[in-house]
Amino acid sequence: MATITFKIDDLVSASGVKEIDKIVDRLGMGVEEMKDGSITIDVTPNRPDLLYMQGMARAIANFAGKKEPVDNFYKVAGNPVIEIEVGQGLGQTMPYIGGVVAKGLNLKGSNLVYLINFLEKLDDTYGRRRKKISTGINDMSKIKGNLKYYGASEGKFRPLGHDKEMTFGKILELHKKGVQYGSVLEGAKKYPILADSDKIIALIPIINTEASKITESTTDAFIDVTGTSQQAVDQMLKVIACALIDAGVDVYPVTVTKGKKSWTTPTLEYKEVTVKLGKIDRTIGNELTESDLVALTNRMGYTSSKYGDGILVEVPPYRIDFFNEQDIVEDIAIAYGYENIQPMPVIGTFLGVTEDIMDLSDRVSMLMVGMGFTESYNNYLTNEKNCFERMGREFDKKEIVSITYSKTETFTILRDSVLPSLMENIGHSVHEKMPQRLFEVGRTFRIKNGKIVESIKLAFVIEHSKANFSEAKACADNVFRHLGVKPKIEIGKSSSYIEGRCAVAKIGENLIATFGEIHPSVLEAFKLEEPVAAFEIDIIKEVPYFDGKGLGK
Amino acid sequence: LHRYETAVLSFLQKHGKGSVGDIDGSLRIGRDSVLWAIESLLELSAVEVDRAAKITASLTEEGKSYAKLFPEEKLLDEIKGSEGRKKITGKEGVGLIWAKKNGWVTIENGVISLTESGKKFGGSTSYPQRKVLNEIVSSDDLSDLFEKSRDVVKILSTRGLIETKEKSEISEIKITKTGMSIKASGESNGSSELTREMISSGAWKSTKFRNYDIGAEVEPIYPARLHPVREFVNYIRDTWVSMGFIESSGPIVESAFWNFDALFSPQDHPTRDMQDTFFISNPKELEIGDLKLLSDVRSMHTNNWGKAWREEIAKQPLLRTHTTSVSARNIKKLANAVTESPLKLFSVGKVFRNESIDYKHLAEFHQMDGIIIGRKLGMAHLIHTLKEFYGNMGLDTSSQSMRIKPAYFPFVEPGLEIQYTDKNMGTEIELCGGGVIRKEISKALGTNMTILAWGGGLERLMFYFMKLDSITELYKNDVGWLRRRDELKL
Repeated sequence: MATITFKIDDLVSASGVKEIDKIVDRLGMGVEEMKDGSITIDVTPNRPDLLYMQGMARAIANFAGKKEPVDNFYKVAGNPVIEIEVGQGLGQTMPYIGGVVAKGLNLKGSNLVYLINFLEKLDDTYGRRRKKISTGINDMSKIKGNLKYYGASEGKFRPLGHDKEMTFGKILELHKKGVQYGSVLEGAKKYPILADSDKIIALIPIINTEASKITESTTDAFIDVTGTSQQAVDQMLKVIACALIDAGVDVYPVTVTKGKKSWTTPTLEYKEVTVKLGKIDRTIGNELTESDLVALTNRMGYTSSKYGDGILVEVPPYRIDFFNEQDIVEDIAIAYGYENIQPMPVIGTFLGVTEDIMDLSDRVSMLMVGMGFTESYNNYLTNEKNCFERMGREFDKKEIVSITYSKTETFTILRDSVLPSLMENIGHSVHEKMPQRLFEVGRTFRIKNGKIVESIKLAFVIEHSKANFSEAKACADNVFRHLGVKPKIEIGKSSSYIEGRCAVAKIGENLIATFGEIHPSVLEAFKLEEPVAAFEIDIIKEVPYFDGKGLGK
Repeated sequence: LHRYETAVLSFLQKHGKGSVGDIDGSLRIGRDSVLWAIESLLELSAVEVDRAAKITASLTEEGKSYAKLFPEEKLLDEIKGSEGRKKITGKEGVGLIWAKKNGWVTIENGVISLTESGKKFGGSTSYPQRKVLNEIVSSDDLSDLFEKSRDVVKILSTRGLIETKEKSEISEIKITKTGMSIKASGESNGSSELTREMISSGAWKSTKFRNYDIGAEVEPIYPARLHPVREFVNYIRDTWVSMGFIESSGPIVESAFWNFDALFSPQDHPTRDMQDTFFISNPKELEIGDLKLLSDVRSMHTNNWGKAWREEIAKQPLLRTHTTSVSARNIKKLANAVTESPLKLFSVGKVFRNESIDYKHLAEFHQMDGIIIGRKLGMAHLIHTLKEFYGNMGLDTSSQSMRIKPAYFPFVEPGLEIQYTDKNMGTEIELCGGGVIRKEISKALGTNMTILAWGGGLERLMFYFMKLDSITELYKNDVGWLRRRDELKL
């Protein structure tokens, strides 16, 4: 989501609509703030065309019916006026380029700011902070001859905002934009440079030169778009060219040559798509006519006409978010107003069913509550210290699911056991009245043979001055009975428990549960002052995933 | 009579009189219980009491901080440490005033110097103010001390170091004639309890049971309870099931493929950054298995977003950022099994975002997701379903409270979100987002069915239902909170 601020007066006079905020909201954009005569709008990432004041004004005017879209409105005004030659040494960083020339700009008042903000927002959003796309703008009258785009090892020019020449290296090191975007050039062998016949005009994707800077009095401008793919460059040029046309400017193409190949940018073709009436009925819950659809599409900026049992829609070039007729259906629904949609019930025969693994967890939880245990519900994310060190457990890093990077320092791994979480809980509740009995049924994670195994475990803790093995065992017996298992109980060995007061439950050779009295060193590590008896069992050793159970019922 | 009353009465019938200490010394039921019994015996005119004034005092915060060393003593030590002289710094404060009042120091031209008595003070000599202050801490009745050191006590009081209270206390209790005539059973538990023997022997028939003080405080008993999140998740599950939805779940550790790629999220999308999503460093990758599916999803990306789609990025393991990954898996697995009746599925589970945690943000939280797979379905059906669900949850679905807005999510078109404003709350919360799954996605997942899909967070709703101050409260698992928390108002 990108936010952009316009003066309300500018939008009102460009669109002819007074209640800007209401229309913005109905278009599906959020009004972030309105104050001091300005409106700040949250523009969804699929509509970069609305980041420009005239684009937003066009959408508002269309929606309010103040302005009808015109057939084939977005087109270039003439033949190419400048050429970019793509040279050697560009590598992989920003190998693609295209451009557009605007003649007859009016950059007085806020217009200069709108244009610059628009291009910068495109860099930030669609351009992924210039990693994918970067835009640049120059005063056309200050460009000499044709342009060349190539890779250079080093060189120097006077960057925007500085009064002296700087080398490329120094720009990356010292210039504000160099520091901000320099990382895009990491690993590049050469610097991507755009130059005219007598000077460097830009270090791509960092900064342009002061020499061809645009000002309020600029009337003709050259805009370049560079990027990591031809498709992305073309898309951006469509959005920019249409925005300039919306602003009433004449747009001229640019020729790009590479070796023997040559093409022109931007490409401003319309796409055609048909939308059937039936599809609309189930979208808005009402029957509409073809004329209704034509009117609704007009309000969303499309020209359209009746066609078969539906309409034929012309999609203007700035709608780079268009993929198929679903996109038009959405716009029709938006123009119709979501609040006017007539809800329709889904017809069929249905039998709702819960999932076994969830039911099992529920049943075990009820048993535990019946035995006087209160349920705890902890994070799966934890760290080695809590999960292993404090518990006196050894671990093999290869078997633990670990996180690459977390903003929260205490999250480094996924837990492989529930018990440490419960120990932490009672460790934070030492002032509460004893006895304390807590349980948790939850997921744990481990790596087995290179694959992640998600399990569901039940653990409980009993803390009070007389908590002992027998109490844990008595509760454990109930759990076994409830789960319908009759395990063998053997003496267990675990560094979390007191030796000789730890038992394991086995079915055949499979260990299913461990229980006993927690070792005093573990109690100390969790700052516990009373004895604790504990238990942990695999309820489901490997969680199976939904296989369509209930579908046949 | 309560057994405490009986016990006190029989003590007095035997001894005629006694102090509270005497009675408690014999009965060992605690001073408060003795006092309580005396008060109620007084109402029966069974006893008479003599009262005496008792003075108690407590130290103020400032008084407590002086218990070891008064500021004037501290100052004196400092001056002694600097050969009997010290320049005034202005920071000496109250210590200097008292050192001067005590005649320990003189001040001339901004220099403090020790007097003879100041030089003598210290060592074995104890400072009277401190001595009395400490006696106050350790004694129960201060009448004697106040008599003896009246002046010092007065000083401490005016210095604001102590707070004195005078209250009348029972000094002696005497039995009255009435008291002597009340029959006090020797056994203190007597007929206050219904015993097993009384039931089996039938003795209860001739027994009169004493009244309980029903207003008395009792020792608390805490219930064992389910966690509110389980209660809430179950409420959600029950609601979907009651509407004919089938529950399904999926893995928590998911491949980027199911979490992002299968849902049309371009590989360079900002949410796929390490700053927003928890990636897993071990294991390094998750296999996709189905090669046809892999190639169809690849085509979906290269045809629509551009050529730069890489399989190794799709194989990255991560903690799922939404339960929509479960929906994606279900579409692939089940969409073509749908016959006449549409298929309705839901899922509730944990999801993860690499967020900095605060009162309204969690890194680990819950979402629910739902899909309806069928033919001839559209937004009108989706809105009906969601309104029915939230209505069943007890929310007001009228257009004043529930607003359905256009919204953008890369995997649906059209897209919507539902905003909810509670009459009493004022602020608007987002309930869920949803829409019709993009054709590009259903095609890549191997079906030409129409799929309605939606997803929404649970914590925001729990916040609403539980009226929490902070969302982190839910997962602290503080035993006291778990025991005493309010019920969910479902």
